[in-house]
Amino acid sequence: MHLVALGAEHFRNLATFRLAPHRRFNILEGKNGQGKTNLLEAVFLLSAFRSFRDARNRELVSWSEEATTVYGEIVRRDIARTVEVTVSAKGKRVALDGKNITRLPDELAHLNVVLFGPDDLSLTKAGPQLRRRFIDRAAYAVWPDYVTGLRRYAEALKNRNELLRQAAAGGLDVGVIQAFEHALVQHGARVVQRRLQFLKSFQPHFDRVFDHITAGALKGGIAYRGFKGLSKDADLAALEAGYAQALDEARATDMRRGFTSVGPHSDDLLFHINKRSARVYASQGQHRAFVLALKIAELHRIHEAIGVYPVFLLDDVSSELDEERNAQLMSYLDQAGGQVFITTTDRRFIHVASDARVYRVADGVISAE
Amino acid sequence: MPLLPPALDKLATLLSRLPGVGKRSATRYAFHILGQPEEFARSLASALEELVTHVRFCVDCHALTEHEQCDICRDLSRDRTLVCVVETASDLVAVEQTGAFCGLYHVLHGVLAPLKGIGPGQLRLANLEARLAAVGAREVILATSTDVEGEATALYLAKRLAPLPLTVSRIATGVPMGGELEYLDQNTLSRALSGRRAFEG
Ligand SMILES: Nc1ncnc2c1ncn2[C@@H]1O[C@H](COP(=O)(O)OP(=O)(O)OP(=O)(O)O)[C@@H](O)[C@H]1O
Ligand SMILES: [Mg+2]
Ligand SMILES: [Zn+2]
Repeated sequence: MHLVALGAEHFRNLATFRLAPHRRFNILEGKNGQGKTNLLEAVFLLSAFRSFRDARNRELVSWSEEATTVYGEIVRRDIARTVEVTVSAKGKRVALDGKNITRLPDELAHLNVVLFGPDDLSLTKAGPQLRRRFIDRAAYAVWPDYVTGLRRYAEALKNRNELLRQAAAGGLDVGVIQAFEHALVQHGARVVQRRLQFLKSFQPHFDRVFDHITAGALKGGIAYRGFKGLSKDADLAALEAGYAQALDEARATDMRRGFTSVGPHSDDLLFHINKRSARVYASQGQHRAFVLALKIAELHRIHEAIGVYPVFLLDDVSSELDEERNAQLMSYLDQAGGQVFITTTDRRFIHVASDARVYRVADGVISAE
Repeated sequence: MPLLPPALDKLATLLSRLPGVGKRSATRYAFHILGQPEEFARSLASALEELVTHVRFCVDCHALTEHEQCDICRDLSRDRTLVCVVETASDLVAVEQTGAFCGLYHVLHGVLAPLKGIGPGQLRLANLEARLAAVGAREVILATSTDVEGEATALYLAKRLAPLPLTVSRIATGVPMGGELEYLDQNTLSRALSGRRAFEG
């Protein structure tokens, strides 16, 4: 899967551009603050219809403009599709193959993108939200309909939280809260089931990569932390029962606090190195190795699921990794064979054997060398 | 904003409250109406007038009607042992058009939606149990949509009706996720109806 055309108008600080990206490596070189990350953000927008920086719509539009349009032409197994995303303060509009789509279809997987940026370097250290996002994005790439369950879970959750607040204010309707908890349990259990399934299928890829990166010196592990008593081999019925019970036990506290404390929205991934918590004990270099293995394993897992490599966006990570990790990453990307966009302040950080095209990014102007 | 004569502006403001109509198209519609022969505006006004004076909700099932009781409730050839609960009057029309259902209806005029402040008290539910007893219903089919609110509403009703001596069933989940009845093609909808299952909740 790769982009054969990429363009944008009025996107952030970028001057209107239209590129024919290289099938393999695209190196975006430029000084700080020139627009390199903005370009990656534009590619990401074509895939997820949102920004990876959690930017609001109007932040994506050049300061002096009203709307921005990003355009891409994607080839996957000889089939070409176009996608066009228009963003203004009022909202977003998406056109696939020239046709406007009003409601996002549940199974939209026209362009798979994996991002590896500076934020990911804290994946093993920061709060659980980043880790949930990691597993959710990866699971979504593997099972596009996963997002439907997530959305429904989120909807049921918002409703239950509202009911908790109403109940605390004296408006408890047991029948209504039971009905929404039932929805919460159904969709929540399914989300957890999918995440467990994902981890099971992800683990072998991760083990192999981590073993390679650390030259067999360390053994990494990933565990899922959910409601009390959750077993990773539980079937759907057991997950539903377990989650229902956890909600039951938390209800009084939840009512006092006005929000739901248990469920996939508060679950976490626990990373281990040699059976000890990476978050607590890992060295700087071990954190880096772990994150790198997670990202490369993600590429492999998605490749296994969809038969092609996703587009890989590498934002300024090379300068953060030491030389050895950097070389390992590049050699993986070289072998994998997917399309890669790399930003850097100095191309000498990037050693790839494959063909590469270098783009200079200066004050929003992108020019091919 | 250009200055419009107050009457025109008033109409545009009212039209912009219609779903999917922004202020700009509303203003365009207002100008369009003004540009038509006067007769058009007058018949539009009287149609609206008739709508609010003649159309009301059936006292029994809350469907739209011009009488106290709707045609379906008055039709003695309909199967009174079967009652289909739908969200909206247009869902009723959708089910009716399949030709696959010959029982009675009950229109909720909404679904439970805590975030929008809609609880059981905001739905047309007050007479449901009494009515089921009065018509001698033996089965209630819950045909609310299959999104989170529709599912929760179905579950709520199933629990509430459980003590009554009748079967509560749910339309088959052949209805695509998130599907609203109104937008389903008739085949899918009649399959959903005939494939309904007794409620397990
Ligand atoms: N909506 C916008 N309109 C115009 N300029 C913007 C907008 N949003 C961001 N910018 C500017 O874009 C510039 C480049 O941002 P970007 O994050 O792409 O830089 P970068 O090349 O990745 O730099 P670094 O190497 O420091 O990461 C910033 O100076 C920022 O002020
Ligand atoms: Mg940057
Ligand atoms: Zn009626």
